[in-house]
Amino acid sequence: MRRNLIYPHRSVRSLPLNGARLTAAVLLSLVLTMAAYWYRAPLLARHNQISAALLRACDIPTEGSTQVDLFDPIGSAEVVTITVFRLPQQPVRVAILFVGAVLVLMGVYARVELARNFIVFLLVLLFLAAGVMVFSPSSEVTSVEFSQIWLRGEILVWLLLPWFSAGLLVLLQPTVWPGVIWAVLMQAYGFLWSAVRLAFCLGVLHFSGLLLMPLLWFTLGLLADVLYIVVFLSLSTRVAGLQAWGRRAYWQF
Amino acid sequence: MGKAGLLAILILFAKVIVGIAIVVLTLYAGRHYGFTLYRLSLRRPRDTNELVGFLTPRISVLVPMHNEEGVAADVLHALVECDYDHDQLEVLAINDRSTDRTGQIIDAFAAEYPIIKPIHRTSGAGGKGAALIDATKQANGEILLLFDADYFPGRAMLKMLVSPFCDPEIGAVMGRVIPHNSGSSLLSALLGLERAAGYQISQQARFNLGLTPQFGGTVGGVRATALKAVGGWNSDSLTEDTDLTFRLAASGWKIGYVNRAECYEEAPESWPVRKRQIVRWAMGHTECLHRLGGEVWSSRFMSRFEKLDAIFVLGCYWTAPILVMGWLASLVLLFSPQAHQVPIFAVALSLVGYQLFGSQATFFEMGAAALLDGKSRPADLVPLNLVNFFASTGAICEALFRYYSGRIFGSPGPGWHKTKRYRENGIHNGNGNGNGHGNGGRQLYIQGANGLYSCRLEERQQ
Repeated sequence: MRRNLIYPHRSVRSLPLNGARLTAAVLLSLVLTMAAYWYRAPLLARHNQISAALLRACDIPTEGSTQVDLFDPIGSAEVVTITVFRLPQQPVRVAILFVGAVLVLMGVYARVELARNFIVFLLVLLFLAAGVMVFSPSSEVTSVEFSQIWLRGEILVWLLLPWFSAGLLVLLQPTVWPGVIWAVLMQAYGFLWSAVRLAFCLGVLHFSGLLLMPLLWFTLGLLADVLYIVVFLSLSTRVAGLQAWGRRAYWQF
Repeated sequence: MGKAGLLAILILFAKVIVGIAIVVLTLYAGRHYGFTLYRLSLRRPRDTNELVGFLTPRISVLVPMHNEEGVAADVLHALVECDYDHDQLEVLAINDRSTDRTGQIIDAFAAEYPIIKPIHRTSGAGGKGAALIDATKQANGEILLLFDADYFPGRAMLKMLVSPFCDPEIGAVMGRVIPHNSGSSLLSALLGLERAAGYQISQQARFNLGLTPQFGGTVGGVRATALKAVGGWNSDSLTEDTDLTFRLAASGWKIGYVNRAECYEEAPESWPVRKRQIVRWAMGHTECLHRLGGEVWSSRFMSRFEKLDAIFVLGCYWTAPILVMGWLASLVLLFSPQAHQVPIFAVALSLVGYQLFGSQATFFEMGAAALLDGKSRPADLVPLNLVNFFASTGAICEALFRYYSGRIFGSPGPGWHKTKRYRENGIHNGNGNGNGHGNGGRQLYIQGANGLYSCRLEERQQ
């Protein structure tokens, strides 16, 4: 019995930090952060163009662009403007959307045990948003305000991301270059994925107003950033593993 | 006070909550990053492998069992096959008020192997702690080793776990726990990764840094004199292992960790089972924090870093409600018009961003553990641990709510629940342990030193 289950396995004794990888991590962080900071204006403009193009591709009418303030060191950015659905216009639609969203979440709740706590949190957000729409209709958010909130978060993600990619990706690689490539890829992916997610959120905002906004902001905002960082960590670890085991493999028993 | 005043207070409160969440979670994240980078850099993880077999004192192996008919034969079989000198070894198989055939299996083994001493508990307090108290009274070993019934100790396991006791300062030793059923379900696979991070990274780093690795109550051992010196097992605690760890540490004993002493366990395969486990751990840990926190902090035997790390360990379950409160507070800030107008919003959001990034520390730890363990597939599962993370966060919040409401209103805790077993090997399948069916009972065959040994198992009385 025991013999079938205790498997001999190879393992890596250690992956000591060396000067090359530490230097690469620090330099890469500095370079990518500086690039994100110095080219923030063209990056934000391109981000807006991608979002607007995706909205137009989905036949969501845009009303041009508006300049919004982010915060002091960053300045301002142009964001696409769309009309946002409001409760007094079609309360029945809100009710249907609300019931539909609750049913979908309850369906997931019933089927996926492990996701239940997460679904409960999303349901709380949904009910809070519905409460705000019903009891305080003036609290509704425009697409410009939503984009402003979004970009305030995302620009910080782009500035912080290099430090995390250096820590997570570069230091876990046995050699320098794979880590650098993973970090650059993750930075580019973070930028593009943010524009796609924003376009999706604005589209939903156009059709459902505030109702799904907290839920979307929570799941597609910083949480989605966390998710792709972890995915990159996972992929790079797998590649690193293959490289490291090839060099230092030994049987533990 | 008008509406604006109330809103201002709410925003201020939200900022304070977010601030607390950021500080606490950043400290924990820093600790995880630190341990991971330190462990990655260790060319020679501290271990006592060179001493294996050098020290062979008389030892008692305690195996508490409560309704373990499905797994009892496997653990006893594995223990009698260990390469420890049988003259220096006794296995105290504790039948803790079982209502199934556990007692018969133990008796069958005891009849075949003189080193197995059955202890049948039919009354008294329930739970592992109470069973260990009874067994410890009958144990003759200098070192008491512990295994839960679902574990498979390898042949060299006992010598490995005993070797750190060469150091007279060592009061307890912990081995490494690895789920053998990682492939059975998504949850058990995720738990395998979580366990790898906890043992390969955190426990090893803490041992190397001279901090206090946690004695887990199984795949480990405690020096009998140390146990006696700190007052023995605490049967009132839901986590008697955590309780013992920090009573030993506060009294000046060191805890050892043996990464190579790998033992295989059954991880929960379904969420309700896992949830019960988390609830018990969270309540037990937090109870230890309240009861032992002061003792640990004022200990004259522990260094400042040891004390700080011990408080981090004891308070680790508090991070879940803090995280949730931080999320809710950040939502208040997001949807408050006043918060939008001031630059502090951006600061708050950036801090929330950092708070979310802070959770990367755990994933980094898992990735590093998978890398060191030489396993590529588990690394693919790292992102799915986000789901596990949310599920555990909710369960911990519920556990702490129950714990504190219990403290305030005096309601009883959850009690001790045995974690569900998924194997039925001793009886139903077996890899060497066949089964037969006769009239009025089943025949259990045990591979003994002198060939097959058999015993008749009576059908369980419902």
